[in-house]
Amino acid sequence: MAGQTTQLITLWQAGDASARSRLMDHCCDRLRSLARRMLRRYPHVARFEETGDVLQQAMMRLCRSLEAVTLESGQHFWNLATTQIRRELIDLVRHHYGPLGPGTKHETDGIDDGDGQRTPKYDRADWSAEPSTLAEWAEFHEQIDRLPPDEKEVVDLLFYQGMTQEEAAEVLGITDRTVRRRWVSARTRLHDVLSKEESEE
Amino acid sequence: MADIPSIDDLLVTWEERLAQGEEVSAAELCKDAPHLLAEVERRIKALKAMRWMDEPGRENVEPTSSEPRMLGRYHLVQQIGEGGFGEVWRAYDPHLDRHVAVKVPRSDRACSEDMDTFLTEAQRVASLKHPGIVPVFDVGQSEGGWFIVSDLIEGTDLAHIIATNRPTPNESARIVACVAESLDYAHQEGFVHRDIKPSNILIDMKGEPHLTDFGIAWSIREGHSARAPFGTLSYMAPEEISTDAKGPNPKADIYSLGVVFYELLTGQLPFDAENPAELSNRIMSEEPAPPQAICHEVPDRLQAICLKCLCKDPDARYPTADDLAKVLRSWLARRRRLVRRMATITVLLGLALAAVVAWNLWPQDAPSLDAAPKVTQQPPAPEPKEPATIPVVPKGSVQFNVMTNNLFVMDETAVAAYYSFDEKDWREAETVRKFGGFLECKVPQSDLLKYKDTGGTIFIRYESEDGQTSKTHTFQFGPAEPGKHFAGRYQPPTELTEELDRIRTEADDVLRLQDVIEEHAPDTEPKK
Repeated sequence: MAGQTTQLITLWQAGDASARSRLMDHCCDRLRSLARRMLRRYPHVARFEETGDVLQQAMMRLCRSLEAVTLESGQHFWNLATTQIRRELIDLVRHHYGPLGPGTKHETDGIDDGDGQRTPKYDRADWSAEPSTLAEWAEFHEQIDRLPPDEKEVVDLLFYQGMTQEEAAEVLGITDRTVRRRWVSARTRLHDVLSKEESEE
Repeated sequence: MADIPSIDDLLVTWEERLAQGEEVSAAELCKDAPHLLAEVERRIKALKAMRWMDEPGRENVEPTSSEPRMLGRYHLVQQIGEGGFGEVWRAYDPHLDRHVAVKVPRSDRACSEDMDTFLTEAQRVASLKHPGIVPVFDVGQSEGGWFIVSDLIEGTDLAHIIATNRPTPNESARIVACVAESLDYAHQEGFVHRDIKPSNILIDMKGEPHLTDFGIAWSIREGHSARAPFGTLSYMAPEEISTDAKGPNPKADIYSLGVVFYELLTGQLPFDAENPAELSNRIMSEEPAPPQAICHEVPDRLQAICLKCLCKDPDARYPTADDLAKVLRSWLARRRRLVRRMATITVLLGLALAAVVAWNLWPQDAPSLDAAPKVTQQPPAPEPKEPATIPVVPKGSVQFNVMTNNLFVMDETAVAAYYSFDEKDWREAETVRKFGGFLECKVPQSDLLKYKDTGGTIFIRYESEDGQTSKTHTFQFGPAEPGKHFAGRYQPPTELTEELDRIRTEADDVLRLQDVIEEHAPDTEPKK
């Protein structure tokens, strides 16, 4: 799909219905591959091709929400699609994190702090490798959501949508170099924020 | 184009050169702007750390290769683990249309003479039927060697959980109790596991433990006198290391389970060393550090139980795995009773607090209180038709509670809620739960705590399944007040919280007293 994603928007704008469904396939694929990446440290968890399961439902929700979209511009579409993907990923964490972490029904054996707080715990002093737990992934996705808009846009297209820097530049109407600058800035900012987060908790 | 480049420009240059195979030093990059050197160095470190974010299009793990490997009738799909004696694969069984786990031993571990022993052992293990033991479905031989097919437990294993998200003492006690019960069943059937360790305890998606890898691994080891691999040595009982005669020894399993318990409670092994010889020495001659020395919140009783399992003298340990399970279960039961009592006290105090607060006049329209029924802001929807047993709250309304930083959207079609403090910068509130008629979300504490001294206004919108966005709901909240929670965690102390603390301390004392009494009572049937 590399290199074609931006063309599909143009085709869709021109009235090509199949371009739209191929775009949705692309987004669903991205959701699947990002979800797999999050869950690959949980190798016993079911493969998501099986029907009726959580990722399948997430992908269906994604498609439904994209179907309702009227195409105003490529940027608008990618914005929406990525927000949805990110939301589904965070939701997957909420769904799956339940039985394996604190704050589950098994915790009724323990003493409640009294303030009802059940934040998933993680110790992450060093972000030099990919997140290894779902809680860390959730934190990661949430911090991306809080980036300044121009950096977030670039992260959305490069990381969530898997585009090349050239494609992202085309979608956003900026130069390659600006994309690179924002990508650099986003990653350093993410690193700072993520490394500081757990000491503030 | 400025003469002095921006920091981001310098970093882009650094990355571009790196992509060409050349790592430029920060000093060289900053030669025209030396005042930027420290910051550029710092950011280069950050970029290196976040390298894993690059090339997002690359799939990190592609489970299916082009030609699926077959073992017998099983299609090997994806490797899910690696044990001391071989690999574990997720596989598909076309006959029964289900996924299974297939264990394939390393080829250097097996020889043909072992095949008979292996088959006999496998048949016996297949006869074990217990909810806490992973059943064996099939064994087979193919050109690749022999293999074992067992049930596939969806979830993870205890080793992974200990490494990433260690359970609380209560949860640890529960897990060990379950495994002890499974172990006791196996012991009664004449089995000794011999390889109890966290990676052999699978945890399913509901948090239930399943014991796997019974006995079979042992059958194919190279002779009885060989030392076990370094990894499993950490869990081996001292008598297993020192003596040559390896008759069936269920007490060794209890010891190994004690090591697992120790790891759960403290995050560390009781004995660790640089090489097998030193490790064996330590296991046989040294006493482990008490768990409380490493992790002070370990309850006294659990420490005692753990250390009893780790006694050097097998006869000093619990006589059977069931005895171990029983003491853990009785501890858990007492804990639950205490929690219920505490919960009742907390609720009563909470009601008292609500009553006291209700006496005061709120200066502004305020969010609701903890225990009392919630008051909503500008209910837009028509009167509710629900029966009076459910809190009477109009559908389509939003409730925000600054004390618990909770957000409730009373609309079953709601899928996400958004908040803002200025109606411009909107962020998504994290969803805690979607329930029958409502959506529960949390506004981050850190965002609210900014307003703890001044109070503020928060704007809420929510989105439904069909993509429609609701109107904006507005809530004003006052600054943090003594005696009341603010944003969940922040609570200036008052005499009421001191009272709660006092009760908690007394409760702990009572528990400790009960532990002491039980210590000195004979280890027979625990009182219910």
